Amino acid sequence: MPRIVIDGRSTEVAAGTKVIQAAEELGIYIPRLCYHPALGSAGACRLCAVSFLEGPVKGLLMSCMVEAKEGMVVSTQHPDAVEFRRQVMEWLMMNHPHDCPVCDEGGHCVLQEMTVAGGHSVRRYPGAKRTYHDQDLGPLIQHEMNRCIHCWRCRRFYQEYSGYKDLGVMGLASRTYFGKAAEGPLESPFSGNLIDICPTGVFTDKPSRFKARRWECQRVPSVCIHCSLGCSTVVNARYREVLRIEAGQNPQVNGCFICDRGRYGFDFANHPQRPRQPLVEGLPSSWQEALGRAGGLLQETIARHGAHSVALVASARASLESLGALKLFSQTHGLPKPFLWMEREQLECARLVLEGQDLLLNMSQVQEADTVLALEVDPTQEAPMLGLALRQAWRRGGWVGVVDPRGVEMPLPFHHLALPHQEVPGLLECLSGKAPVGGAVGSRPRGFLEAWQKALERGKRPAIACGAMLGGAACLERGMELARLLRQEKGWGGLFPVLAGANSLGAAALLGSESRGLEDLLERIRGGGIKAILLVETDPLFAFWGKAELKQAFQRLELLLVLDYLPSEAAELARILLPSMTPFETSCFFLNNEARLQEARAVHQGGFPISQLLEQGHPPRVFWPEIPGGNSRAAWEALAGLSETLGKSMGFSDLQGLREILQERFPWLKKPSPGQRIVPLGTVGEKSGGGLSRRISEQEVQGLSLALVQATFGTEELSYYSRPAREVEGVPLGFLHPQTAHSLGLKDLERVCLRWEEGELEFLLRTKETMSSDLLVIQAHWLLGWEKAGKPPKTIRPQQLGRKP
Amino acid sequence: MKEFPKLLLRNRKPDSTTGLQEYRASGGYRALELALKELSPQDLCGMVVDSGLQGRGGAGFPAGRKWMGVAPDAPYPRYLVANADEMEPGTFKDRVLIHADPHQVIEGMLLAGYAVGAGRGIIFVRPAYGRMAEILEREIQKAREARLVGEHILGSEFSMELEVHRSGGRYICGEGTAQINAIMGLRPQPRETPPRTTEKGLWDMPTVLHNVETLACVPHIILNGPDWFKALARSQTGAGTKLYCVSGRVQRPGCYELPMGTPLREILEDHAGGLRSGRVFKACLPGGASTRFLTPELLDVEMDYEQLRRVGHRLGTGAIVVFGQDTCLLRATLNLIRFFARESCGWCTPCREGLPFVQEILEGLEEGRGNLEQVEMLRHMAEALCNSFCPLAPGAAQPLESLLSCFEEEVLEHVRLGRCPHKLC
Repeated sequence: MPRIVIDGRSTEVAAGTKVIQAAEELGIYIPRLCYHPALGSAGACRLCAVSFLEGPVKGLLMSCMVEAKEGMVVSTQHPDAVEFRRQVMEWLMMNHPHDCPVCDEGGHCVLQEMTVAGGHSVRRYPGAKRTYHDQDLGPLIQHEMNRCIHCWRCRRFYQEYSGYKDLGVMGLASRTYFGKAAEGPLESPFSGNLIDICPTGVFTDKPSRFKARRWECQRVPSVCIHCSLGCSTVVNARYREVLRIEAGQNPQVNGCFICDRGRYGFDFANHPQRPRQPLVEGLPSSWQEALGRAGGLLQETIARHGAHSVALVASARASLESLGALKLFSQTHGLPKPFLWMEREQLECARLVLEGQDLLLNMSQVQEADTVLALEVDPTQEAPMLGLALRQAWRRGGWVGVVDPRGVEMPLPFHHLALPHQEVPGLLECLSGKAPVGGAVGSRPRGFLEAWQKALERGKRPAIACGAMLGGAACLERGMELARLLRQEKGWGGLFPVLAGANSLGAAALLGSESRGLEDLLERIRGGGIKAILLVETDPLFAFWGKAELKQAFQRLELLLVLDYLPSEAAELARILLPSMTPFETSCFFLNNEARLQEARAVHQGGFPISQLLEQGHPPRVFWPEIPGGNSRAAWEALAGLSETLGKSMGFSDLQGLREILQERFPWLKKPSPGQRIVPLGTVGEKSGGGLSRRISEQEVQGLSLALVQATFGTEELSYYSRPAREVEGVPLGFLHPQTAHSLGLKDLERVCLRWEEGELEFLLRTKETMSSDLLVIQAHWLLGWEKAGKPPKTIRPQQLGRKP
Repeated sequence: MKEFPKLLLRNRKPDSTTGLQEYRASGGYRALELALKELSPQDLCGMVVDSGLQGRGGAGFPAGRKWMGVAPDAPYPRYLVANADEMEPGTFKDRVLIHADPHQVIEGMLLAGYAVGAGRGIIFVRPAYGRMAEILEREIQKAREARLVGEHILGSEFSMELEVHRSGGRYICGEGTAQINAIMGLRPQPRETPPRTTEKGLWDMPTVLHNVETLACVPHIILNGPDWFKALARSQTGAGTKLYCVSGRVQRPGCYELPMGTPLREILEDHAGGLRSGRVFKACLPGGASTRFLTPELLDVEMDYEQLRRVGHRLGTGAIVVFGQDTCLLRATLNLIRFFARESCGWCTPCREGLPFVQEILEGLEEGRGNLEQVEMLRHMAEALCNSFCPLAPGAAQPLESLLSCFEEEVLEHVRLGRCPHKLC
């Protein structure tokens, strides 16, 4: 632990800490442009020069390049250092266009800060300014190369950190250029981070271009709800419109970055068709009237058919407050337990994870792992940030193995076993020592596993990442078992699950394992068992194969009450529609995949975005006492109101009251401070010694099985309502192994139809060498046209697949 | 004029390249035979350390110490790189050397490879030297056929493969770490050191990189002993001989092999024939474009690394560029700065932005648009350029700095007159 003095203040830092970081720990901000904590030192901008007065090195040196060593005395204010930094700023600004008044970065521009801080105000360069060609980088990112000051952060992030190659550096000397070899959309699902890391305005957010200055925005820390990882974000809103999402910094979860789905999925909150007014039978009404009517109808149904004829349905995107209030509502009125429409299997997975909470790893621990086994998870598609974390594990020398029948693609070299789903348990038994060494798994030859077994044996910090959406509980259970065994043996390790929704764990924790699934719901409506349904922040019609039938069934209900903030298809069918608030408008908590309780804070009160009210380019010149379109209520508030109309109070009148009740019922809600895990990482057991031994179960695989899977863009519900995300949604893709495709007479890039008795799905076929040959993978894309599809078969006969005529 | 024994250019002929037979007849590959039969790699290292051989590429780093930088337990494979990316303005010795006697470099590489345990040697050749690359490829093949290159060289346990890498061609590729990147197919950018290339070079393996002239000295050291080599120099602080490239306003520009430490005056007057008629010595760059202008009062300096360092100069590549009294040194500096600004890799700010800034000011001054503030700015920048990532910008700052300190009056006259005081400009 070297001790170092910076500007007369002494500090002790960890060995290997760079001086720039040591200064930051003292609260001294050394100017910098190329240095970034996640990207490390580059020594390119030369702006972090400081004077080393005592110690092993002396003179003017870059504080990002020098490790703090015992006895160093450093001055950031030495005249030599100040003069040199001034000179660097003068050099950097000689070609900068000085277009701050029209630059979206203006106001949160590191270059602007450094220029002002360095005292540079007069341009003394007598020559002409350099200009570059700007490229079209797709709908998400605006490119303005003239502003570039060549800090190399974009290339270092894009190629080194995130592992994509389509954006890079070209040219030499003062013509050095950062961009693509050929114009076009960026390929990386992490491309939006370029906006955050660029210290000036070369890469800016395209959807929110020219809409607001940073200082004009309302900004709050929030949590991403577009997958289960719960990355930290910062929400920017102005004039009642959420404008953009930036990555929040959370060292234990997402570090400094987020994926593009998280960045561009927010626009559902600004959707022009968003419900903003209670509707009764399609007609606008007041809350009082709507609640009264809903209460009346509910009472009638209960009186006529009994409490069991009412179904309360929620989803894994609903917050803990919404779910908690719904649970209290059901208990207050003696209604059946609320359930989640998500598949029973998914809830079972969440329950399993809850039971094994002590095993859970966070994303930064996955990055630190030296051996990662990813089971039935396609990180890039299901939870992109996990892919980025795996890349960091690999960059640190880690071994990454993926067991998944899909042609998984990640920006890192990894070992891939495209095992069919049914062979995975055999593999895991083998890896976890229930089966003997050196055997075969399923159709795989004997001995192929040796490399994997060796990797697990050699690893000191093993992590198991496990998806729930393809493999379900069977795979997860075995993955957990393996994680536990490894932890016992190595003293380190655990599980990183990827679940179906942002609040899957929260839902499982609050509602228990009660889930019937949509098919069951459909049957019970048809059978007349269910007469009234309350849909709370859920849309069962989104990407459901039984859409048409469910729509019909909804017609038979006495009451379909929808409480939601999305202009969903279910909302259109609702007899009574109550508009709820998005997580941007009301504070709410979510429990992420590793049981971390995180708050999404309200950024504004909601209401129609002014941009949607514009009349001839000006907001309306009418003064209302209320916010136009600000008639939404938080789901818990709406449920409390409904409860009152039914004649019983749920015992709270505000958010604080609700939280107190919930905390009493669920003590884990109260234990951690926000942002912490509800259970700390489990204590490590004694090392049990015994090595991993193995055995094999042989299974025959026949037929082509069908897997409906997630995609980075095109399958997630919230981003369906987000304009920027829709611009990169692509088309529904299906995947086959080239040999399988060949034997079916199909080719890559053909439009293919899957037909069966009840329906059909049409998709663009892509062939992938790396996937399992007995599988058809179709992205559960919103453009698939679910209403035309019946229940897809689990296995497919060759004749069911054919070229689209 | 006093004659001195020649080593490196002893087989130089005006019209042809020395082939394998001729080279062997002149004592070539005897050092390799001796080494493989009787000497251990450690012996070789010891001899090169004792000989005082310094790297001839410009930095003058002791060659033996570089070999010692490869730890005995360092991993394999290890690599040897011969740097023939000769792009320093005024420097042409590597071309003369290889065109005259390529096997000398090949033997030097084999000996160095034997000493550091390298199984593969790469000669990095700039694209303008296409003929050189052809000669090397041809002669390596001949050596291979004579079992001097490849598996079990001369029947010993030592194997080494040699190949020619033709560069894409940028000045920065001459910088060691950038050259490592270039060979691996990466962007030729200097890397952060440490780790030194002797620890982590090509494909993260130990790599020893030398200028070809340095390698050509090795056979002579092994054959004749370090003391003999050291005694070749005329100065106390030098060792061996040096290829001095003389260009500019002299009677006989060319590449001269002379003992290390030969006085500058002697090189210019005796060997290069003095200045051309009617010209008076004004200044010279003693070691290529990255060195300071040397003024007449230092003409008696002994041309070796240490003696020049003591008077505030650098031997660099030993390329002496001579300017007469009729040359505008501001314009000469501008010419050099243009070169450096063009050849920057673009990684760090001083080099990428600073050099074009300097260029712009110098152009203005030369055309009579300059002012005193700009002269002051140049002074600041000459200093600031030295804080760059690699030695390119500090090298470029050398002539600039000396222009401002030794020829200040000439620069100020440009401002006063509003034009260049020299007729030529």
